[in-house]
Amino acid sequence: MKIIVYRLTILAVLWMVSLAAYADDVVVIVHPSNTLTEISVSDVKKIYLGKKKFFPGGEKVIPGDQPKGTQSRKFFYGGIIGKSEAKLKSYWSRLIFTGKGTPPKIIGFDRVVKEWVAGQPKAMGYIMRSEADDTVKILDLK
Amino acid sequence: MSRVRKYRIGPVCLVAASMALPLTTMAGEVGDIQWHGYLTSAFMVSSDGNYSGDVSDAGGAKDTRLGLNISTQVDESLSFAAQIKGKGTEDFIMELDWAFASYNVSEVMTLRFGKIKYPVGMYNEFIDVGYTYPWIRPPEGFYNQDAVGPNLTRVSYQGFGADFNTYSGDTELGFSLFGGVVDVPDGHVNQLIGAKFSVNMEDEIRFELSANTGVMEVDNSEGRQMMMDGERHTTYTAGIIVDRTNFIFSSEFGQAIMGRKIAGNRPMDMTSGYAMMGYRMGEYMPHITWEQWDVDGGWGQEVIGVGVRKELTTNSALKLEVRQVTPETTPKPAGGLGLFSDVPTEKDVTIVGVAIEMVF
Repeated sequence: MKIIVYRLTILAVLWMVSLAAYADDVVVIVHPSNTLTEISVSDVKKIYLGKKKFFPGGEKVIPGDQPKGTQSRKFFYGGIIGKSEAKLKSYWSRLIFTGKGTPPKIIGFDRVVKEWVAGQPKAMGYIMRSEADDTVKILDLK
Repeated sequence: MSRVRKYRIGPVCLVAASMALPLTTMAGEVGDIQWHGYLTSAFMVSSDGNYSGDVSDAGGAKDTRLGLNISTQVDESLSFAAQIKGKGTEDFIMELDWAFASYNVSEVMTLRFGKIKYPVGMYNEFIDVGYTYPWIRPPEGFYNQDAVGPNLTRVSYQGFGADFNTYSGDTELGFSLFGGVVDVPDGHVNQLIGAKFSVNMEDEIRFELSANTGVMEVDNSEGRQMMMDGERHTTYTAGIIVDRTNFIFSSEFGQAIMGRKIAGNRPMDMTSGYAMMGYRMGEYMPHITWEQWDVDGGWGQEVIGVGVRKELTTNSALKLEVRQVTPETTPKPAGGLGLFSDVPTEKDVTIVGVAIEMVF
């Protein structure tokens, strides 16, 4: 039993370390007209968990999400937001079924999210760094 | 009763309805509509007696339920949400669970009005959504919504709510005021007014304190309910949930104070508390719960339960549970022991349950 617990602990630590490392490969993007250049991880968490509805500058924010199963979503929620899919489902269920909030809109995969953010001044999204170009602005995470 | 519309349908129809509706997330922006739902399929059986009005030694699926939820953002500040549900414990009658409008005055303040889920107890607002907690039923002594007695929790109320939320670093501080009227079987709780204070540390540690008061109005002129007519009762609760990595701990304590005295000149004050501990091991989470419920007027119970929850998918779970209920009475009343409607012959009654929970 001890060996199993030890192995599970090692696996869990390795999984968390790998997600943290891969989190650097995911970038948070906004419309190029957005005046922000950086945003705190804490604010990104609050925006994607429905606790904050405005950018730090005071403008309304519309977060866009990716469907379950994408690598970007896995790295974003595992490495930046810090919630597993099961915990995320439970979290949103508590809000949805009390009428206190709804999850961010599912926009699509990286390319679709990038195009949506490029056309929506209030948008925020996340994609793999390799997919980003000058049609969107990458926010530095602090 | 505040039921807006009633439909008598069986559990098969409930499932069929859930399959037929277009339950896809449609959007999250102004003017768009979101549909969501939950489904529980459960079977529970007791070794003796009729527990909490709906678990008997013949077994039954009365915890089976379905809820459908709709929400829309009317503009950037105003939103509307409503939920209907059908439960086995209520003969699978589909009824309006809650429906209210929310107005975001600012990021700090939100006003709500309509029929709102009762905000007392850390699980009460989503008590029908079994996927969100470990048990098949949360501790019934605390979450008992029986009309008889000064209960800690209710289903919903009609009135207003004002929520204030702010942050100290990453710690969320909340304060809520609520008031209105509660519909209960055979009566109402009038002049309801209450307040709740909460602390949320990144969803890993949540803490709540609440107090509320109301006056019971009884429509039924027979039975024990009449003793409550016109009585004011005041309720206090405190609760904590710790959910860090794989460890989960949950505990609540509540006291309801009612001036009315009954036979033996004992007040009908009630206290209830529980503590639950669980540990996630991959898809499995075994848990253990101790619960105590006492009414000074002469009845109560102690419950020890163990269970396991298994994640089936990211939106469904299987639960198995065994609990031992020990009814306690001092002095012994003429009928009714603990939450049993029939006096059990066994000193300790075992209740076994299995459930599948789903949200969609």
